[in-house]
Amino acid sequence: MDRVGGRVDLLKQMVGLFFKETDKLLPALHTAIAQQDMVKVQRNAHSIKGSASCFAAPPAVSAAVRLEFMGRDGDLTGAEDAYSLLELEIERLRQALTTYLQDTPHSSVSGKKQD
Amino acid sequence: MATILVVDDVALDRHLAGTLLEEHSGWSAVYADDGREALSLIKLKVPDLVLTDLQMPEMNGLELVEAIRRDYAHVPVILMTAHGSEDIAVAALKLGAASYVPKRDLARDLVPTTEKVLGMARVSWNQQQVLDCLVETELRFVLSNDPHHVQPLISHLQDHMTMMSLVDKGGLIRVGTALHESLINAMEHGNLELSSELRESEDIEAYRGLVETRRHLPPYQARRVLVTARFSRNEAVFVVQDDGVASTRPNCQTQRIRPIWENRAAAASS
Repeated sequence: MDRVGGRVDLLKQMVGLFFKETDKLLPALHTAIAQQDMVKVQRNAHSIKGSASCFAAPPAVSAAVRLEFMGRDGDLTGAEDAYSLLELEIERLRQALTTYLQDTPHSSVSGKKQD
Repeated sequence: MATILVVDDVALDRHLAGTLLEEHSGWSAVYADDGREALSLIKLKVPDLVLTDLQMPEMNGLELVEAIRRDYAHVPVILMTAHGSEDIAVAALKLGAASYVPKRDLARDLVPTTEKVLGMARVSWNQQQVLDCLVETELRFVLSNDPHHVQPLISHLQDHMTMMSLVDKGGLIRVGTALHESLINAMEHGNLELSSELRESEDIEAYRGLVETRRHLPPYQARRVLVTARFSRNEAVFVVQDDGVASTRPNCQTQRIRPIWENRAAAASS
């Protein structure tokens, strides 16, 4: 909440955008790992890291940083496991954000998982 | 109305910064994903201010600041810094970024920082407009023989040349070197009557001691160096005169500098 100056309206927009972005970025990262595309691994992991950073979520950020560095260093050893961990941490963060907004007066998550 | 270009590869940060800026009356935001896209947008329409992240793919914030300072020097840049980008932020500030806002403090600090930087940019722009109307100016300085006054005076004159866009960076260094030589020559060889041979001797400490002693003794202490600097659209002319004994050496030196648009920052002595 500090990051949005305590404003629920802005937080709701940010959470909605986070859902939208991670819906797009996670599959793109997974595809990049499968294709051994180091540039896209680094770039997508970097964007996920930046998105998670907005909500002060160290486990999700760390998991994304690990994959970003793998892409940067051109070594994807253990990338599938790292991806699974990242996916798990992002899902935890989504649930925490959803719960937080449900418990916050006059709010609902407008950007709930999009197809 | 001020247009602010927000540059960040993370959509959430772009959205947060852009929303906070657009809530301010009279500001509108345009967006770029990285430095390269930002430069393409700036080419199409120069914004009033650029707000940029530092760590981005393609072209990072440091490279963007460098390009903006080089090609759009009047456009101020504010950095958005995150944990881990401190070193690159320091480098960008050294390159000429106007200010920075930590990402965690955007909601609190972005608007006041942007107001401050836009305000300063307007003053600077207005000053430049006035300077563009300046056709000629003349400055006169009367110096004692204290060598410590030489470098500050040169810096002051170089600032004037920069303000009037008379020389580029290389030209400034050449002018500074030539003026330094002229001023030291006028003080030490002209007014204090110390020989060049003595200066070039191995015992530089003894020479410095002699300068220090003589500049407090009559008749040397009453002697002055008169510096006249005349700046116009076409040239800068520096005249350095001393009160030394004219029979042994010329006690007036003139240096004439042509502007950069003539592509010849030539200095001539007479």
